[in-house]
Amino acid sequence: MTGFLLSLAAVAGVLALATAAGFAASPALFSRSQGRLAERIGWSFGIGCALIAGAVPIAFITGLPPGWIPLVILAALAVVGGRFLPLPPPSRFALRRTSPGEGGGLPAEALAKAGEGEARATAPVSWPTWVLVALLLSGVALYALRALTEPMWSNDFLAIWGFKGKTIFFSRGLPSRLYDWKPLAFSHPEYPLGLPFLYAGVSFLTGRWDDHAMALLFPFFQVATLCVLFGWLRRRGASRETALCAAALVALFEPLYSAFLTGMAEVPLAFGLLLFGTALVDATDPPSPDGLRRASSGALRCLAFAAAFLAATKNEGLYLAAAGFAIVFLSGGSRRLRTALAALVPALAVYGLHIAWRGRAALSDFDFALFSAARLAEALGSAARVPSLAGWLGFAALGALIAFGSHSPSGNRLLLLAACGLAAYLILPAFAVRGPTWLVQATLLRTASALAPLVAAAVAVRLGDRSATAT
Amino acid sequence: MRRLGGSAAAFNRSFFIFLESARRRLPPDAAGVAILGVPPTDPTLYLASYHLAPLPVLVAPEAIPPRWVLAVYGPVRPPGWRLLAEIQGGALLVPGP
Repeated sequence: MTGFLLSLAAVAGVLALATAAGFAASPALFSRSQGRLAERIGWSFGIGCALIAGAVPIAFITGLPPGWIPLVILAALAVVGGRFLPLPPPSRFALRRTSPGEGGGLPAEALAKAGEGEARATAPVSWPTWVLVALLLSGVALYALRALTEPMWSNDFLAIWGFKGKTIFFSRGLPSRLYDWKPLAFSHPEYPLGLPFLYAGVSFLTGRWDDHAMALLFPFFQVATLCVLFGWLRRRGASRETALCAAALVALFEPLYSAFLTGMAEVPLAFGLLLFGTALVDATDPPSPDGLRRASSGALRCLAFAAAFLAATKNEGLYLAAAGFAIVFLSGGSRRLRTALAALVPALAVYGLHIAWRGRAALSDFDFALFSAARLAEALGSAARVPSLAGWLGFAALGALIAFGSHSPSGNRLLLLAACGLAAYLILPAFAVRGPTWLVQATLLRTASALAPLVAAAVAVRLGDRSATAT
Repeated sequence: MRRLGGSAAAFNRSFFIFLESARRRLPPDAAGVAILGVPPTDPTLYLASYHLAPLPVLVAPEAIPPRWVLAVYGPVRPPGWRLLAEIQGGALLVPGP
């Protein structure tokens, strides 16, 4: 076995162990009978990444040697928390999808549909299902090839994410020059440290900095995203084919799962945004006759975790958490304040921790005094030129699917959240110090591509609701 | 070394060989590395900063901080500096007597 394969195996082992710890802690988020296994595995990977990354600053603060000891302590606390704060099993109705009208529906109708779903699930697997599975697996295999062909290499990996992670690992601490030394302004001191801590954490656990083997994190992020997408859609009542189709399309979405984005924060952000969006929808489900309140307490915990994950990954994570807060608050409902706070407070807490550690850092790429209508027009004009003809055809197909779907409030909330993200990516270049066109050309395609899993979930759940209405 | 054939070094593979040679010969008490002989472009700065991390790096600086090592890419040797080591594509220097 070559040195690279050994390193790869070590990274895979670390990630598998962290996911297992996340799975053991997951009863705090999912009751035993709630959620599909695939969805739970995806969330467990997210918890595992949080444990690895979180163990690094905890080691620095407590003076423990970074590596296995702080991780095992943190994981043990999480597992014990998961055992002592488990969710009670929700009622049978609470596990099922709501009716297309989202009014809570009639339990009898829901149970009848659930029975149909179970009947479908035990039916023989048809050939289209196998085709979709093959497409899904080919998307995973292709991304693994792209991600693992060479050490992570994109500009932002070298200048920002990998640079900080490597500095933290070899310094065994967080040198103050990372955020107060002017020549390092290119590394964006204002960016959150979740991904650099994750890189450093994996390296502390494997005992070496290997930026080639560590690229394996990204196919893991992809698979976790697909697990959450498929499992959540199935739990929400989508057919196996619809859920597989959505997952296969996302798996094959090369603008996100590219060699260039491997090492950057978009792939983890896409995963975190899917966690956040699906938890937000689960938490804002209307009250049902029985059980949903208990189920939604798990959704609130999921939402809080995902909000913190988002804010620790990228700056727009805080903005997206605030957008989630506004969506929940404006959508009404008896529990809206509690849900809205779960969407925002953890993100603010993560942001506050960054400020406490490094002080305030200005957004170096933006100057809000620069805004003008002409700059906004330039940004939008440049954005319109970004997609190729194939890209515009893709947008047209997406528009048709959105138009064809039902007006499911769940799907609409997910679309609204994605629209908030897209609006920010389109408008922010108007404030760009280096000019709107530069920022659009440099970032729009990759930043907007991180919305893909969320949009896929929205479209699929709207189509699922339509097919349910038809039957 | 896998990076040598990869995309990050594609803009100037000779410069990457120089960086790797410098990294291997740096004295353990170096406080930072100042690089001369290359234009201060973004790819140069990013690759050098990443590859030599956690040491701080400056490319084509106006002044060199104390206890830093000078890594010169190319044949030119600035006066007033003592040769520490000849490396692939250049040399490492420290303030001379």
